Amino acid sequence: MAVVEVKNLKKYFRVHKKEPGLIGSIKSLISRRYEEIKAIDDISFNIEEGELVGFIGPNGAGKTTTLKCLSGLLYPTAGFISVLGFLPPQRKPEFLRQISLVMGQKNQLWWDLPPLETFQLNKEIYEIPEEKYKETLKELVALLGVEDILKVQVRKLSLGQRMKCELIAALLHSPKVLFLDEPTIGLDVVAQKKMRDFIKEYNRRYKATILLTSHYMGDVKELCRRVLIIDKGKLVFDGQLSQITQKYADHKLISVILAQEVEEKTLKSLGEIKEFSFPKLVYFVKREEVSKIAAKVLENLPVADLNIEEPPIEDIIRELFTGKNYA
Amino acid sequence: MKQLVNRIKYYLRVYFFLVKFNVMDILIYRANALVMGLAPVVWLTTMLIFLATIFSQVKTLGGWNFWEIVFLTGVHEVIFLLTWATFLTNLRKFVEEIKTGRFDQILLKPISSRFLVSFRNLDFTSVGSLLNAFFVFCFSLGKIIEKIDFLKIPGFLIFLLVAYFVCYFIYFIFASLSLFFINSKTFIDWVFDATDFDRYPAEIYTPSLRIFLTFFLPILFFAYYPTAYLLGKIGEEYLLIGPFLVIGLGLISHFLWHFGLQHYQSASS
Amino acid sequence: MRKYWAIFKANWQASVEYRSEFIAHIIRGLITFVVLFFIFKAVFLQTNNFAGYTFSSIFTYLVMVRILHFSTRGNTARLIADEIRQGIISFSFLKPINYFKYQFSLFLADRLFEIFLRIFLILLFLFLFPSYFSFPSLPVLLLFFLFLLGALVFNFLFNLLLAGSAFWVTDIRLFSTFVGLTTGFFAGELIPLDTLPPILKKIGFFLPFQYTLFFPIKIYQESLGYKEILRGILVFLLWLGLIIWLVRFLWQKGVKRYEAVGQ
Repeated sequence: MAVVEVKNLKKYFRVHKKEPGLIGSIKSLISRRYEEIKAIDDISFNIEEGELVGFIGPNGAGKTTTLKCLSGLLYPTAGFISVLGFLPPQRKPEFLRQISLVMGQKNQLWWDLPPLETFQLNKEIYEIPEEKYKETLKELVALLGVEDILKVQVRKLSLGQRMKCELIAALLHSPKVLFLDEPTIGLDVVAQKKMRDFIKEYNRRYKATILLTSHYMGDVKELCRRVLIIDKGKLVFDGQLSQITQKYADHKLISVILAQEVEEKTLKSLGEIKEFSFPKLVYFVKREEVSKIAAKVLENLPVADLNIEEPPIEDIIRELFTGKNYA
Repeated sequence: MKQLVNRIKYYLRVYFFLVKFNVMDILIYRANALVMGLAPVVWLTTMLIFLATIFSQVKTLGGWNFWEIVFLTGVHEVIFLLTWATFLTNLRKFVEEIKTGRFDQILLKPISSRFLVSFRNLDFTSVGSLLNAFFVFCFSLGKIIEKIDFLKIPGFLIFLLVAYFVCYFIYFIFASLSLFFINSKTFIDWVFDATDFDRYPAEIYTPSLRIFLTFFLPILFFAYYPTAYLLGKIGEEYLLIGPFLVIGLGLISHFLWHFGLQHYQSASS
Repeated sequence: MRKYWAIFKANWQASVEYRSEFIAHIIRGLITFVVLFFIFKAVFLQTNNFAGYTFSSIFTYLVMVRILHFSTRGNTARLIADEIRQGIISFSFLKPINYFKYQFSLFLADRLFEIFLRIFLILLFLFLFPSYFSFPSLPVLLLFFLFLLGALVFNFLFNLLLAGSAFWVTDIRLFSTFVGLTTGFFAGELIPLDTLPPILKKIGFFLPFQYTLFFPIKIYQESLGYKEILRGILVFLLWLGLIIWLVRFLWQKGVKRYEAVGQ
């Protein structure tokens, strides 16, 4: 049985619209107009144990809402969700003990006390046996490298250190399913890498099922083989990351290193230039025309090196979102 | 049966841990909080001056004399400060957390969210004023001690217990409203203002107001009824209302919380 | 001037946002009033004269206290102190706008909003209980409104003074409640200053807070002679001058300190 089952999930919100200005605000006191927002509009998918899946989509696409539905924080408007065999909105303690949700900026660590204290509180709340607690804590602390800051007040820690401790607090009870909402948001490049490495390692070591949402392609490229792309509440793609390229890119890139300077006019005549800063030159070429243009380039330009590449995932997905290439 | 005992043990353990936590918090990092609780002291002082001024012109108010009313004020303050220390600040924080979305973290824990919301912090800023209020309580007690029938003391204590729980349930009911209306901080303040009615002998109010404050918004049970009983101004019948009231309010509170959570889980974004 | 109007509008709109807040807001002050009403009703069952007041005049006093309270008192101190504590005040300093004038616009918007909320209630009240309430002559009424404006300005300045202490004290919240209670008491909020025991009466008549509440109400109730009114105006103006100077001084020192700490 799949760890996560989602069938025809719909989540609609009613939001009231207010007209701007003084008159509008007084009007809103008397009667309000409501608008229905379809945050999630009929999506279905299954996730097996141990998978590391990424939800990507533009802001407001419905990613966070999906996670909240999966963790039981929100009732679906329609459809069926099952996680670990439980119905999440019932929030049964046995269910809650096996999952964890980490939401970027909204933290659970007590501000004025060292992280160790929150850890111990969670130990009590989750009823983690003493031995297991010590062992898990040791492993997590080693993985994240935070031995020295465990006894420092949370308010004095940097954002990166705080995020690490938040993670530990969320993982002490060894959840089988981990939901991560924008785990690398606000972190610097180094911290982002460390976070991704940790997530990968955690998934590998503990076979935990991990769902993460992000709007950073870097997260997804590094971590997830399988991605679900959500846009405007609809599931636009569900499959291997590598498939996206094959399925949706109707272009390729020809990247050239020039041996000598060439007039831009000449370069432009051969094809559409995506990028040019001597000696690097990149052409944006339709798949069918790749061989033709590659041949022309080799014939007409002083080429030191030539490569034919897939366009970066970011570009493909951006195109997907602007509605050009839905199958 | 064993299950129930285990659940109780679990909650007691977590609660003792929270207490330990909070004491450490105060002692190590926020000792100044103990000093800052001066406001209730000033409040109490102005109240007493007010009463003294009134009584410079009249001998009784609603059939109560000066020291009896001071004693009532003392009881009211002590109960109020106890509730402040144990759950009132938490409920206010809870209303804030609904607004900021931090409440979600509480919902995700495998422990009764109601328990965490109500009792996770002990607010020690009330300690200084608690001592002050207790002093007023004892001093005025000394002045009226002849009037007290010692047989009524057990009843008085039961009343005080009822008072604590009635207070908790009423505030909790109003705090739960924030699960429906995001900005209901004013509702709690509203209740807080209404407790003003409880500082003075209810004899001065109209009968309909008294009924309202006894059965609909039972704040008279915070201090007035316990004190009136002890001083022999009302009969034993009122002792019986107490437990029923607690159970009734408890039920209302339970269902309101339950439906509130459902609403929150449907509508929050 | 335009930008201040814009600020005023925005704050107004923000206040109107929450409907449930609306009604609850109005009921709050009402409760205090009702309690005092019952207390004095009980008092006047036993005596006709409460330190020189009749039930009617005490009732008028209580109503005026509430009216003056919501139309002249605000929580600007807390708002500004929060900005200082969180370090956001720097952003306000960067804007091409005078910070004090900006805060005053917010303050005014708030006060007008409060009055707007209660206008219907007040009118209803006057309609239902005309006998309890008394009205003075027009010139007196005008003088009263002048003092109301004066009280507004004084309260705002006092808020600035309190807020200024946030440059030194991290969290002014609890001591500002304490200050609020004390100044309110000595303004005559709880009971008229002239009913207090002698020592407290003396303190009350010395401090400036009486001019935000007690003194204007006395004017309204036509209980003061020309000499007293004139003297009151002069003393009040002196206090205003003093507090303006204090605010300037405190803020100058405070901002220097704030910048020195490198917020």
